[in-house]
Amino acid sequence: MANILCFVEHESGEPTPSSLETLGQARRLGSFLGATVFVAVTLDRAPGYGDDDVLAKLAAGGADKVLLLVGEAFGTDPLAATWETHGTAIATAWDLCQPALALLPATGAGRELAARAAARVGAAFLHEAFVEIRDGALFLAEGVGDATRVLPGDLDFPVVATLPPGRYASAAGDEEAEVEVLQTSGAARFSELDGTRSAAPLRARVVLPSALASLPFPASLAAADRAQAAEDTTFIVVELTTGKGPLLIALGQGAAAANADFAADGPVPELISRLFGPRPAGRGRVRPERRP
Amino acid sequence: MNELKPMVFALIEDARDLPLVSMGLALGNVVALSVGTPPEADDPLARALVLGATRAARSWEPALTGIDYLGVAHVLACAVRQLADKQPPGAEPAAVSPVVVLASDRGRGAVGPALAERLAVPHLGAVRSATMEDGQIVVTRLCGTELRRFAGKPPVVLVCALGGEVAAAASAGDAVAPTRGVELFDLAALQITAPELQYRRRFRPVPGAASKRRPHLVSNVEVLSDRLARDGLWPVPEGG
Repeated sequence: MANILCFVEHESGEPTPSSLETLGQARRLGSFLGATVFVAVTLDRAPGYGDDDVLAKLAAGGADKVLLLVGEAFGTDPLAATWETHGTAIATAWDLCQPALALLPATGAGRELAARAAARVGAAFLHEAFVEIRDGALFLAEGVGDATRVLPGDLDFPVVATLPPGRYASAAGDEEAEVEVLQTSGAARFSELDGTRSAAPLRARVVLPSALASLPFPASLAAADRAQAAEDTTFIVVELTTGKGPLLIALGQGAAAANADFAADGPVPELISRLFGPRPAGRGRVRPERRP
Repeated sequence: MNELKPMVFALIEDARDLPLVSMGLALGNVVALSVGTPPEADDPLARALVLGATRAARSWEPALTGIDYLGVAHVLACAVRQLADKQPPGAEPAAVSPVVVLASDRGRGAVGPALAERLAVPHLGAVRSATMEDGQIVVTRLCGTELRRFAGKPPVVLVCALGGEVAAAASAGDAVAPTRGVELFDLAALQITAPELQYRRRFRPVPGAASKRRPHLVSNVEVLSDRLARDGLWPVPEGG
């Protein structure tokens, strides 16, 4: 495999946790397969003196080569990414490194960009994928349980995959990476209206009927496998609606055995209170609007 | 000058996508489209007509079996172009007619963006609602934990996150008796050959050994909420 392309989201130069996890898995795959790991990162202005933090973090996270894609359309808010604003950047990065595998974090922005990036080049697409080395070979799959679907490991076509937050660990690289700065442009026909942001109503589904009343917001019962739905289960799985699609969080004793993205071990009522209860002002609030 | 209502295509894979018809009726005349899903006794396309769609059309042929997201998008793009070309006399030419496509983001959510690529039009994902205001489509999207509003002129593909409230709206409202049946269109009419679709079969993942999520174990739920907030994924309780 020649090249792996990894798209990294950042906020004010700080790569997001799921981006570093995605880069970490790209690093591990690249090391095993002998592939070069390219990282595409967008900036709204060219980096100046002392602006090398993001580069250092990407190099330390496993990048071999960093493609800095600079354009005013990118802004500084990763949540605002659309194909109109970021598509040109992804296309530029793709055409430069011609990857066999492209990985994006399965965040809201990743979901917005990944499938279209795949369609642009006729690649196969995997959503919330397992992309790892199993039995000495590349394993590419999506879905869980009976819904698992796999692609052959000996690919003769490119693949674009999103990786869900928490599935893979971040990695350590050589702390040095080649950097190439590329000017790109993007113009959006659909633009955000000023002063219209609001917090999305929280929605959740849980797999244990008795947990419904313990959540401090409206929730409904989700379909679940029999083991999780049993009343003697000592953990609950909360399915939250997010910009990326459902996010599964298991809470309680034995939660690590749950079919979830994240798990926390402990008494369920206490975990629910700490996770969903009131928090200090300024944390997790609606972001202030930052417009050019 | 009166703005021409958009021609809205609602992509219906099964009954869970019927809320797209209700969303579309707020924008213009709705054509319900289905590719690769066989007719059923309780045909969701027939129900789309009852809900108010002016037309419903399906393509179902053996060549469509097992093709991937891009193969489906290719057929849909050809169908949208052809149906948009056959607008009533007096309507604007297809090249400038405002077309809006509504797709669901259930599952992989790949067909909508791929269709947008094939049609060479913008797409927006995580759409919760859409209305027409002063000739523009105003879209409310879920961006992280926030609802944000975007506006622009069609054509556009809107990949919709169908929620409970939208589904309820689809079942409510006055049902109207359909005046037409579900139309069938074949690949030949769309100038698509079977080999060009069958080529996409090998790009589609196939059933394999079951995988299981391995949850990322966190020792501190506050740390978890912090990291998810940095990913733009952490929902906040109202008033929290």
